[in-house]
Amino acid sequence: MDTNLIIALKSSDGESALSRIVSQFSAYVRTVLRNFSNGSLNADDLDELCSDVFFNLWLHRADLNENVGLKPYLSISAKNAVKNRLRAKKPPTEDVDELDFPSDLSIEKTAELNDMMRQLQIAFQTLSDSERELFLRYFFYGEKTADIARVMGLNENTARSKLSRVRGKLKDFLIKRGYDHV
Amino acid sequence: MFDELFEKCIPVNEEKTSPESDEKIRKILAEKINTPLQIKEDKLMKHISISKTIISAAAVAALGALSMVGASADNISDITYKSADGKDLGAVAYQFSSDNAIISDVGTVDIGAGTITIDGETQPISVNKLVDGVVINYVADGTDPGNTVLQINSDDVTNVTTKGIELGSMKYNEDGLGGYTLTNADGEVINVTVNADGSTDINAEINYLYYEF
Repeated sequence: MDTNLIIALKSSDGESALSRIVSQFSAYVRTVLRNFSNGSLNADDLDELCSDVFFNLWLHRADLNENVGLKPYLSISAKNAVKNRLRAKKPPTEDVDELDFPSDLSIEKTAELNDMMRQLQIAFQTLSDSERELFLRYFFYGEKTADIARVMGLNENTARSKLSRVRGKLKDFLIKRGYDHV
Repeated sequence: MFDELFEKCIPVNEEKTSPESDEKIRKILAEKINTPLQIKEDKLMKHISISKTIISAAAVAALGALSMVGASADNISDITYKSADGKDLGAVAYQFSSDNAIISDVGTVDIGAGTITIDGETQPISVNKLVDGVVINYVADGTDPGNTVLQINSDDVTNVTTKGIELGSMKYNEDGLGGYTLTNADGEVINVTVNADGSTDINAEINYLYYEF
């Protein structure tokens, strides 16, 4: 559970917790950065953006929700870090912007992010296991549908259509709960 | 749910951990937050070492007193949690301040339908308990050790209500019964840990609380 790490991060010994988080999650963050950047970042860029992601986490540590876990925060922060870096270039991942709801979701807007995560947790209960995995891999990990299809044993077109349906379900769910800018 | 889901789904081609890269990231971070980043292994080792000295519940009970008299120089003690039927639920090493407030703990104790999590210097304790299908979380505010937020959530994770509790401190009771007491600004007292008299607070499954020196 990440709960202990988040609590420790908020404590007076937060620097030690941050160091532990770097050890535990740097590979994950680098993976997400690589995926969302479509492999366009070199090692130095990845390290720099990685530090940006952890620094962002540090800056907003007081508002992190222990029940959400660290990976959603790190994923969203990593995705935004890539977007900022590649803003002037072609979007790094196929139709990734379409899966942002709301599109300006960021760790800087922690209250909104926490509420969104809470709503997503509820919405996830309406999805099947494979739908959850599909969404998680695409939205949080930034994996390509071809990779997702391969690891889940699906045809790529099937993965795409399932992803589209999942997105529709979640979008409807969130719109009913006041997220009108999805 | 997110935690479980993330655990189940391993990213495709996940990057390998790189100590060199981690050190570089730590160096950049340290410059940004202007503080060196080091894991305090010595502190963790001390807790592990102390946990080996746990003695039996009967022996602890025989010690009787629950005061801090006789505590070690750095005020570190083990607290052993017992279920109502006497089952040993586990023990956690605590460090107490001179006024017996818990200031440093690392660990999690399973209390059956919930957990007590102890971690951090200024965030002594959080309690997650399922009562009649309602998840109750006590979460100390790490940015303000005197403030604790009581969250009451339904079992579908829909937030029912959140209540801020302004605390002078979270204290270990020395009334001979043990337990922790949260007091809000209105003087309302909430027992986090149930006393040995078997009262029916949110931690009703923890009926005995011992520690040794």
